[in-house]
This record gives sequence, C-alpha cells and structure tokens, in this order.
Amino acid sequence: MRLLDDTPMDPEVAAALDAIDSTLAGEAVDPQYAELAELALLLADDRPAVDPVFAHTLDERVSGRFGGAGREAERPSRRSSWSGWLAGGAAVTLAAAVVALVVFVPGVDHAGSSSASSSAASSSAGSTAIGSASSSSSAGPAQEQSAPSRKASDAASGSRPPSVSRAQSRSALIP
Amino acid sequence: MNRFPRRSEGVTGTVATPDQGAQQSSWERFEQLYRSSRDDVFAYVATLLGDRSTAEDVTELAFERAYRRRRTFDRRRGEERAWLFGIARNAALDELRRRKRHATLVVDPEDPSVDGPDDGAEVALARTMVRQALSKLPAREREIIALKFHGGLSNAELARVLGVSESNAGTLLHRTMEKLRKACNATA
Repeated sequence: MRLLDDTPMDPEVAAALDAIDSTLAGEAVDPQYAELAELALLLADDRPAVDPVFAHTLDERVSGRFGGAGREAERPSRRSSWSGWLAGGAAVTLAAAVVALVVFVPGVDHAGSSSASSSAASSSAGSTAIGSASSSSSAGPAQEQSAPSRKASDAASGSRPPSVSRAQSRSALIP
Repeated sequence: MNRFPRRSEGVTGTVATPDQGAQQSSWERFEQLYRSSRDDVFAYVATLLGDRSTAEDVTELAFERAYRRRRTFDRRRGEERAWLFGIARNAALDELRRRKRHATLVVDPEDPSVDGPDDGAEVALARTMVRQALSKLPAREREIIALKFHGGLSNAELARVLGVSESNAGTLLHRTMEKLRKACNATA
C-alpha cells in the first residue's frame, strides 16, 4: 500500500497552510485565501477560555507540585510497598509471639494443675494451679524437676489431650 | 519545607540558551512548559470533550501526569509541547472511553463565557455557523481543528501528537478546513 506519508505535500496545500499560519500570526495573506483566513480567525476566536478560578487552582497545585491527593491515584511506590511488607511481617511476628506465649506459658503453669487433677478433685485443681503459677517464678528448678513426674502421672491417668488440660488450666487461671 | 525557590509571579516565558536548557532541572522545564501551555491544553481538551467542567478535570490530570513523567521525556522523540499534548490527548480519550462517547463528541451547550467579546450580529452568525459545521465533523477532524486553532500547535507538533508525518498532518488539516468552509457556505 502506498503511504500518504511518502508523498510530498501538494504545493497548493502547502500554500494554503502557509496562509492559515500567516493569518494566525496576524500577517496579511493573498486575497485568494481570504475565505480560508476568515475561517481560521473564526476558529481561533472561538477558543475556549480558561476560567480564572480554575487557572488559580491549577497554578496552586503546580506550585505545590501536585502534593496531597491528586486527580490521578498514584500507584504505591516501591518504598511504601516495602514498608507495608515490613509492617505486615512485624504484625505476623507479634501475633506468633502472642500465640506462643498463650500456648506455652500456661503449659508450664499446667505442671501443678495436671498432677493435681490426676490426684485430686477438679474443684481443687484451680487453686492448685494458681498456687503453682504464683510459685513458678521463684521455684523454676523445682518445677523442672516435677515435669517428668507430671508426664508419668499423665500417662498413668489415661493420657488426656494436652489441649484440653491447657484449656482447663487457662479457665482455672481466670478469677 | 520547599527546598526549591518559587519563581516570580507572572513569568510567562524564559529565553534560554542551549547551555541554560541543559542545566535546567526537570522541574524547571516542567514549570516553563506549564506556564506556556496551560491555556492551550485546556482549550484543546475543552473542544475535544465539549464539556468545560470535565475539561478542567482532564487538564489538571494531564499536567499531573506530565509532572510525574517529566523525567521520562525524551527530546529525541519530539518537543515537549507535542509530548504534553500527547498526554492530554490520552487523558481526554480515556475520559471519552469512560463515558462511552467515542462517536458522539458533542458541542458545548450555549455558554456565554465562550462567546467571546461583543461582536456584531454578522460575526456572531458566522461563529454560530462555524460551530455547527464543526460539530458535524468526524471526531478525528474535529481534533485536528482543536489542536491547530485551540491548542495552537504548529503543523509539525500536530503531526507528532497524531502520530503521522508532517505532510500527512498538513494534508489532513487542509482537507478539514475545506470541508468546514464548504459546510459554512452551504449553511449561508
């Protein structure tokens, strides 16, 4: 296909375009282009004008370098996405730490209550657990020594699931 | 705190030598471009959309996009003004697509602020005829008129924006003007 781009401009067309440009520049044109010149002036005069209020608003936005919320919702920058990932990671780590604390700390406290529940009535298990919990901070080594014996007593008492015993010990810790 | 000093109010242009231009920051070049093109971009977009309010939004969007992309401007691919009008054109076309008004570019309703200075009845009549003729043109031809007479682009810039050769752009412009002239004569 022959491209229009390859063809040189028709001299008549070029002359007419020159006449239009001359008219827009305020220069006189050949009378044969008078009608074209008049049309060009009418079109140029009909140019929509900027509202001064809008112009002022836009000037302000440009001066402020389009700070704040713009018309175009900016894509989050790489840096902000990284900070988002970091914040998310920190939140997950914190949540994991809290879960670990909830799961394992009562498990340690459970040392006394479990053995107590195997030997005593369930109503007295709570007070035993509270007592062991209050003493656990000062009697760490003693508690470590009691752990094997607790496991042995659990095995002997019919191996109750640890989650149940933890739940019970948690509920027992609630005043 | 703004680290960059603001330029004086009312500065509309700067005579810059090539050396000065090379030393200008992207912000300074953008600011110059904004000052020299704000009204032209608005006029072009308003003619294209036929709606002043939306044209204001699109003009603002176009300058914001140009500001964000100012560092990606490549002088080898054309002048800044054509680049800016390309951005404005895309923003306006996005708006038209959004409104699903591809084929129905409308003319502004009667708006006193667009009527210009007080003219005689003859000029007012001629203007009305031109507007009517313009409204009947296909979108592509209307856009050429908008770029040339309202955007104030040269034929070379017009060609850049439309993605055609300068020869092609000139031919299209001439053809459109002839079409308009005949339409006006027919109406008269």
